[in-house]
Amino acid sequence: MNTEVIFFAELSIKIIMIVLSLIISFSCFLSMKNQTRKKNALIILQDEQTKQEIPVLYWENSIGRSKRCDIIIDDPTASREHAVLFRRKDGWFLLDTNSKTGIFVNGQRIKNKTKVNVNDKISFGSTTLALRKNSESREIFSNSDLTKKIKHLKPAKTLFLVTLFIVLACAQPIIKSQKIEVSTFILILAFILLSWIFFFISIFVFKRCTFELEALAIFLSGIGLTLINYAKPDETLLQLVAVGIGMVLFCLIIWFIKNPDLVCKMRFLIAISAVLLFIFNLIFAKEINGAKNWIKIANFSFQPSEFIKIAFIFVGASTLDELQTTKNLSGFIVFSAICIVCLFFMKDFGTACIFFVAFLIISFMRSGSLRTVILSCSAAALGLFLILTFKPYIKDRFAVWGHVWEQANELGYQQTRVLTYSASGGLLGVGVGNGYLKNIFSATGDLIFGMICEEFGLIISIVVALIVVEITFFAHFYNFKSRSTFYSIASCAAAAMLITQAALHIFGTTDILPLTGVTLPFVSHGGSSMISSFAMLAFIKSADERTYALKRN
Amino acid sequence: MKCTRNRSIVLTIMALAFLCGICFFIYRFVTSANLWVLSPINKHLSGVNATFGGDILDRNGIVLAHTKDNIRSYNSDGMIRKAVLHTVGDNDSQIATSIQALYRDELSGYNFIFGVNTPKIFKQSKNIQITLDSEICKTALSAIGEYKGAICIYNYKTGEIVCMVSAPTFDPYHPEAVANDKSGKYEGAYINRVISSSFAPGSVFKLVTTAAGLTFIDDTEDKIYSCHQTEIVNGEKITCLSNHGEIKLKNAMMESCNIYFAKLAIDLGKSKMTKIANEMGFNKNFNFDRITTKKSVYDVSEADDYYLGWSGVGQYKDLLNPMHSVILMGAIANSGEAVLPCIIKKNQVNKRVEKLLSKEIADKLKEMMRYNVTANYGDSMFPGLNVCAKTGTAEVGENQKPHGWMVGFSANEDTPLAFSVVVENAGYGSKTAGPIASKVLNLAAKKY
Repeated sequence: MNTEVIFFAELSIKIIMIVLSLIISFSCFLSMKNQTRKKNALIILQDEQTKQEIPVLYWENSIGRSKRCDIIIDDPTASREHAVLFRRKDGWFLLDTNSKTGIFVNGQRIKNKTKVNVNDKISFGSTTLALRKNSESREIFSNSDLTKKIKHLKPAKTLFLVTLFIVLACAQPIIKSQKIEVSTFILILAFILLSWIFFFISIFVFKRCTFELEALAIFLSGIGLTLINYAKPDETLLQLVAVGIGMVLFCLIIWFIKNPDLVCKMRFLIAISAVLLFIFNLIFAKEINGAKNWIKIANFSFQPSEFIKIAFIFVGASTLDELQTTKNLSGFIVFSAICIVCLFFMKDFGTACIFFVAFLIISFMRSGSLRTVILSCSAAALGLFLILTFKPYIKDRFAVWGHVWEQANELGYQQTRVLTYSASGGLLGVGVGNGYLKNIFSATGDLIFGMICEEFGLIISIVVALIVVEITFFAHFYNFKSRSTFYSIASCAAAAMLITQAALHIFGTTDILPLTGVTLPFVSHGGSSMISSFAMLAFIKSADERTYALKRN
Repeated sequence: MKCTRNRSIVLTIMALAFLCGICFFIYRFVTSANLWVLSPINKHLSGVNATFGGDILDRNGIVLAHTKDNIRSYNSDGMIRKAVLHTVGDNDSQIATSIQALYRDELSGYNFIFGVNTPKIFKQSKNIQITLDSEICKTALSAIGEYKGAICIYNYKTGEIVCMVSAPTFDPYHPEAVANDKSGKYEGAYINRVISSSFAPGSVFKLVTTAAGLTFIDDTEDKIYSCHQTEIVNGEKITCLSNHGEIKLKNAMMESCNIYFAKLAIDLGKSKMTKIANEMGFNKNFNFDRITTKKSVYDVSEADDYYLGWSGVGQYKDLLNPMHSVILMGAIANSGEAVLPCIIKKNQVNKRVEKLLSKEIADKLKEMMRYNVTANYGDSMFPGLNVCAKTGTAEVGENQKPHGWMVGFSANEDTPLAFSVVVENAGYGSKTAGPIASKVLNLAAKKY
């Protein structure tokens, strides 16, 4: 083939890949609202005296006089936050949240969590409400009309596009060298196979009807795996295994948090083991590249902090009935403080920052008070000030921020390479395997955004960044109809962690923020990071009420 | 539920902040990607990958660098390759001020959409014509021989640099010679001494002291100082080459009497000396065609009278950049206004002028420099060129021979050339730099 034919083949592949990436991210975004429940009541509470009907919209509802409650009772004898009415697998439950006048179900005063049935009469103060079925629409998981309408093809189509994208990415080096050596891309084929297995299991075994989040995760990890495959072929297998483990953990977590009450009970245990893991890390970890965050067992090294992220969310999230009864945040604050201080001792400032943002999100979601957030921020600022005063050398690590070109071969080494090679890629990229950034130390890990820019081009790298934003929007959107505040808080914390990590990575490598050496979720080389990214995704997925409630036939 | 739902708005705020960051990144990418690509760290554009296609031509259209089949080739004449190396550049961009390093984007035809892999049909790699005359550069390099040093000639009417040679130099086909060298022969070979070095100026600096005297003392020209070969200032000796006795400015300049100018500098004082030196371009960089010159230095802030005296004759901490010295010569030749030099040949001459001296002082300096040639160096060195010049011999420490300087210009209307020659550790300026200047300037004048 002459050079011009090769050139046009390469160019058209690049353009098709850009179009594919845009379609993938856009179609996932559009299908976000697909098959969601309309804003209608799950059940209805009817006032015995006035016969007025109060719709119950959520899976967990606070009842009381306060305007912030989901079900407002205009009764001076009721407490501000009187009770919580919530749905679990076995039916509807009612819990008294330390009200003054108590709750009576069919005339009996209740103390603990009590199941309520249809037509039961519930009295708050002087108001009596009767539980009624909603005549217009039945409860979502018994709605058989809805499940029939699901298009079986839709999620498969997205995954097919993702597959096509990855195949085209691998076609670039083949066209360039004009040689087909199966050994060079066998692992990519294995990845494609793995993603389709994952797809069939979640569609036919778990009978899920949505696959957008998973498709996006597969797209991102496919980009990462392709880059790693042509930069460090020896390490592709490990990355592939990590993707596999991540997918398994994804399913496990969704299964595990099916019953949020159970998780809440195990929370103390999780917190203790997380702290112990941190202490173990501090004692036994060896320092790699200035951060003491790796533990090596046999031939495998892993980063405990990545797994503690998962524990952090478990500890932070909480169901509404628990939120209303125990308003104290101090346990969680102590746990967070221990985590962040440990990370500081490990000199892993990027992860410490991620934990801090997650802490702020969780404490705000739980308490709703801006005062807590401002207090925490000022405490963090003070702590940072003290650390910088007593250990000024930490400041030196970030001194190059904004001046990378002046120290292009010293402290600004990585950032200048990222910028130069990103610019070399242009909008379309130089093609997979043709980059030079891959030769820089830890390019596939801490600098992979630069590699995407160089080899895939600026447009696809922006799409990658937008996908992270998209996942965050998913988390925000799912919150409207999540099955429990546990899922709401967990998904928001997970999304906040993902987007903070992506921000630190992207802006750190491009010298917009100081470089902290964190990985890009799903894309970067690194088993622990990949596994924890899938775990974060599981929390977001679980907030979607369709995950548990809507099944395929 | 309602409350957590409402509170999750913070997530949207975070996402928006992230989007703003992405937009900022795109903005930076669009505005500075061509600068990032330029960086010499970029392996896409260096070494064996020097696929930048543009040719570099000299002022007469002789090809100095050319790419065929992705191989960068240079002029076939080895001496020309070496002579223009510091201007044209090498494959590895070791010479930071070279055209191949500074104009990578234009030579490579960097295209925002395709990046460095821009295909030939879309590539708009430009050829760059420079103002050098490769033949004159070749002569200059052979004239300087084994010495280290710098030679520069520029047209003080148009600003075009005709000759710019830095020694030691090397063959771009054999860059390994520099890396493997242990003898010190190639020391500083990657530096263009004309642009990126400053040397002790020696007596050349007396022009600045004279300018300061002419500015601040009314009857400087008739002012008499006596020279007895040595002069004790603050208990230490300032020395002169011979016993000049009672001497006036014009002859002191011609004879290059150290004592005269040392006394003049002491009489003027630090602030007046510094003011004039700064006006004449010391302690600042000159910028032209993406090139930034190294600063010339005049710093007497910590000097006592003894050192102030030495500073007046171009010793102490004084340093002079060869390119600056040529610009200064241009200013004297042009009644005080220097045309800033250029290295890229343009169709339309876009002159940038900088005033370094007043007209009267420039004309007086010109007259004295002309007298130097007629009375001392000999007009036969530059037959028919009406040259005004000043030599300098800068002591650079014990056990080392001094640097020899010669700066000047041809005052003829049809050969408006200013020159500067500095030869490191060679001896007296008139004996070392003089013959080189004579050879190169005569050729340049003939070719003009």
